[in-house]
Amino acid sequence: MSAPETSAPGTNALETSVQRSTLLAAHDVTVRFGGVVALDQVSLSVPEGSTVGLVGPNGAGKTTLFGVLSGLLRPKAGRVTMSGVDVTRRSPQHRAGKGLSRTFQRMELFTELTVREHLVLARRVKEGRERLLGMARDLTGFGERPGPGEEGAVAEILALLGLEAVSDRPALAIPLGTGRLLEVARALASEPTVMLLDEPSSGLDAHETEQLGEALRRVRAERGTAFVLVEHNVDFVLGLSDRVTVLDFGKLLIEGTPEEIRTSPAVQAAYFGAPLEERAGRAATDETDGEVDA
Amino acid sequence: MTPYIISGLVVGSIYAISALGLVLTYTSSRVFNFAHGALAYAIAVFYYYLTRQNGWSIAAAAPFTIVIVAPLLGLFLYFVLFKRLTHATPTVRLVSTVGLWVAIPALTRVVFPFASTEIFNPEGLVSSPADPNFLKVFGTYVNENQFVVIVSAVLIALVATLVLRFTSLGLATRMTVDHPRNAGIAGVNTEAVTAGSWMVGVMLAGFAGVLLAPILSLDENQFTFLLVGSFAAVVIARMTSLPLAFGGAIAVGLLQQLWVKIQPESGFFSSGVSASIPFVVMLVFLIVYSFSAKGLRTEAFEVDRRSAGGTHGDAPPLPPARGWKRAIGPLALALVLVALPLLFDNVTIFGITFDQFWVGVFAQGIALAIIYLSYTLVTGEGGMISLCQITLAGIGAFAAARLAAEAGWPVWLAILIGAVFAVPFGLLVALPSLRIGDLYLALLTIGFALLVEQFVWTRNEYENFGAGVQIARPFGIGITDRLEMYAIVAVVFAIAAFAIVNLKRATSGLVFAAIRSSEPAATTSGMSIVRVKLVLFGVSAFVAGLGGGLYATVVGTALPKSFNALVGIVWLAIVVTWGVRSVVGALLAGMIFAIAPQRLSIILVLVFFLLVSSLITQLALGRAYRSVLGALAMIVLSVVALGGSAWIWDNVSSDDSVKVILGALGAVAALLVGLRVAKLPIANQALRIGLLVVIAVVGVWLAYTLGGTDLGDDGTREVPTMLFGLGAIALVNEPRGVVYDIINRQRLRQFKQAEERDEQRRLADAALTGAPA
Repeated sequence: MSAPETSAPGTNALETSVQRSTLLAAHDVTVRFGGVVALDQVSLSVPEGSTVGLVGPNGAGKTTLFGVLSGLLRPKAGRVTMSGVDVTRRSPQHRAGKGLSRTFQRMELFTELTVREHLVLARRVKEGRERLLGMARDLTGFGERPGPGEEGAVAEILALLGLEAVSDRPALAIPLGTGRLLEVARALASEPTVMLLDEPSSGLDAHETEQLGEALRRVRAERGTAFVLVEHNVDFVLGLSDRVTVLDFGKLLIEGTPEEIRTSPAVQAAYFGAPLEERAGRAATDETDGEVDA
Repeated sequence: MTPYIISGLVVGSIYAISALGLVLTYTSSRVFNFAHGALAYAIAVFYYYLTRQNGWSIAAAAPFTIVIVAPLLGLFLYFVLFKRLTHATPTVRLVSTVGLWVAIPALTRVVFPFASTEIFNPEGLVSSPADPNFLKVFGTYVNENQFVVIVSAVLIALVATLVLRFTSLGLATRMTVDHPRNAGIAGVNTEAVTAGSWMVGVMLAGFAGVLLAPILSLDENQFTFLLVGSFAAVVIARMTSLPLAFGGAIAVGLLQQLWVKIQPESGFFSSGVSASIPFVVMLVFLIVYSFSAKGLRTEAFEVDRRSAGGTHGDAPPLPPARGWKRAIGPLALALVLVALPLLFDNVTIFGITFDQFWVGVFAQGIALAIIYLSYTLVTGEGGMISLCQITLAGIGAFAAARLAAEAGWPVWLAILIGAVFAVPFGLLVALPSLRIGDLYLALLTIGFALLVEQFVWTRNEYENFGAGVQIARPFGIGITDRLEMYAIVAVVFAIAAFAIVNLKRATSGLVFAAIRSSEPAATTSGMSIVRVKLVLFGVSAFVAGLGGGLYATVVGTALPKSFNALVGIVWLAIVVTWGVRSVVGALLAGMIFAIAPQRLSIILVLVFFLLVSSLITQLALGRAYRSVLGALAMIVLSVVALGGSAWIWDNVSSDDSVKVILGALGAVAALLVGLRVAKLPIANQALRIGLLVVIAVVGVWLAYTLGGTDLGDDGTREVPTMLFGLGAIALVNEPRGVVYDIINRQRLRQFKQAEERDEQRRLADAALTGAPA
């Protein structure tokens, strides 16, 4: 059970990343929805400070993999580890506490909160102020004060993503593209070590996309944050990533440097428009042992 | 044995007819109709009106009621309400049908005042009395009515199954149920199918109602209670399976009647069991399903935030006040609380005496407001619909009363510890429901509330032959010391409200808002949703228990009938109307619920002032005053307001005042509709309130002219109840209640306009730079 074009990419990726410590990894993750195999023994590893691109056509399983990594979905088989510790059965909030944050492809904003409050909240949760003790303090009226360094940190992220002008507007009343940037800003505000970005540039105009790329580069340089990036904008993702993983029909197609991906015939076939018969034929043979058509 | 089986089959058959209607409407629109029983009641009353009051024959009245009037009512409700609920959030869907549940029986009694007293032995589908020896089965006679009930249920189930399986109409329905969008693409008129299913659903409710009337009697409590029993069958069917709903209904009916046969003569299980069986079944199945691998069917319809007019709580909050301005609200509230007893100290102004009697009523209102603060927490902040807050309040009240009376504790301590008693019950109800979603939480809590009502409150220790459990006032305050009691509840309310406002303003408030908006984003940002919801439920149970204990001590006794589940439904509606996320809303709601039974005209005065003041806000905030018509409208409004209030002050307690207020309300409503027609920038909300008032006024007028219900009679409770039911429906999108609604609509529009400007600028930029939009 391995992708035909490369030699056991999952294990390879794991081995090469040992030098730099691996922050987040998926090991042979399988997810089924009813009879459909959404992910089939997919592995992925995110070394410290690296940017991993995740590409593939629609329905390849990218968002599903994000669900598994962030804890919203539980895989049928396989494991998820963070810094070597198995977190497969741990809750999303546990993983968030360990330094994982994410954005959503279909925006999941806190519609009633202002842009600034999104960041304040993410930061305070990181500080544990939403726990029971914090709630008790909130009851007394002493819970409103900003934490140490909060205002500065929030202002910095607002500036980084160009959100100052809308900072006091509720998320309900901001444009779509700005909402996309807010998702990234909220994820950044919890000062993560790994960030999962699900199509952060969709719906952004050229200028905003540029600003987003710039922001991500700066965060990487200044804070050493690692990213996993799902993108349809191929130039954007290949330009940012150190390593790229390509998924197709829930399987790992190939893993390599952006250059290798750009030149790989397998990716060209699957992603940039392939002879259709060839793809269909492969999919059919691959799925005979699955249960899609059963 | 056989008689019990037969009566079990009869009850089960009626459950089944009702349950089939519920399943049909739920599957086709994902709206669980909590008003199903209320509709059955309304239609049964109409049927009685035709047969007994107007002398129609059964052969004419039955088809007219069931085949024509009931489906038309369903169609009407579909177009005015259910249609826009399909893509609304679960909270909006639930509160809307709960509001209908409150409004319909009240409206029915306003229009048909004879229904205000329980009607015994109404006719069903056979003339009364039914032929007792109609059929003999295994040596037992089946009476004609029982026979008709069982045969009807079987026929309906057969027809429903056959239509769904074998006709093209059935195919279209099943397509719509499974995937509305695909069905639409395939050329199925999904709207017609959904509208049709609501017609059939209400028809089945009406059918069940007409059949039920001769078996029970024509009374709202009995009726709603019994039809809530069909909720159990629907839960067994996981909301979707017609055969399972039918089988489950029959099983529940049989179980109930068989228990009557085998129940012990004495002991703990000698009473209340049969009535609680549907709820026990429902609780068991909900818990089993929530932990089983297959689980309960989740809601598959996508929420359309734009067309739904915003999710629950979508209205942007007002900008937080800073500096000294923050003290204005609390100070004003404190001032009002202090001024009330000073004014109502037999002071006479302009010939009106402010009687001290009212201070006692206000104390009751504030105690209720403390209970209502528990809705502020669970529903307002948590976004969850709990229908058992009244039961938690009852637990607090009875625990306090018994601790004080039987264990001899000081009353204040008993009230505090009684409130603690309510907490484990709140947590127990919340725990399984956190896994199963909003609708099931609502079902579970109403099941719990009815179970306690039937199984516990009916017992002698609590009922005490209608006297309840006496409880003294704390700190030796006497029953005539109105002011002291008022001071105590006011202080407790102030402390609780202060704590809740603090909570909302701080990190916790942000957390609540985050979880209401997006659970996936909240949990991946590191918040524990389970912990937050459990804490909210626990704290709200404490607050409800505290309010319950205080209410009992103000009244002097803890009475089971004060804590009936159906009263709790009205509470939810009234709190939603005045603002489920605002402590002032809770206070207003409590005050009005206490005042309403004392003097109806005060409610009308309040509604009137609210309407006028909100309109003026509207006009001031909007641009209407700049146009000639807007200015005219302002003048007319002022005149109406002044004239109306002059009349009201003059005639506050006579029949004339009611007529005048209603006339003024009608004039304002007509004006609102007129302004809307003139396309003035008045928010739709004003129109909705206007229409609401028109409906109320027409209802009252009908009651007065047709039924002879005199609203000068202060005992009339139906009109406010009806208004609050309708208010809950109209205001479900604005958790801060009527007043905020008007302010926030305006702000929301400004945000939308800003958004559009941004979008246009972005498009223009994109066009200039040549980048893809």
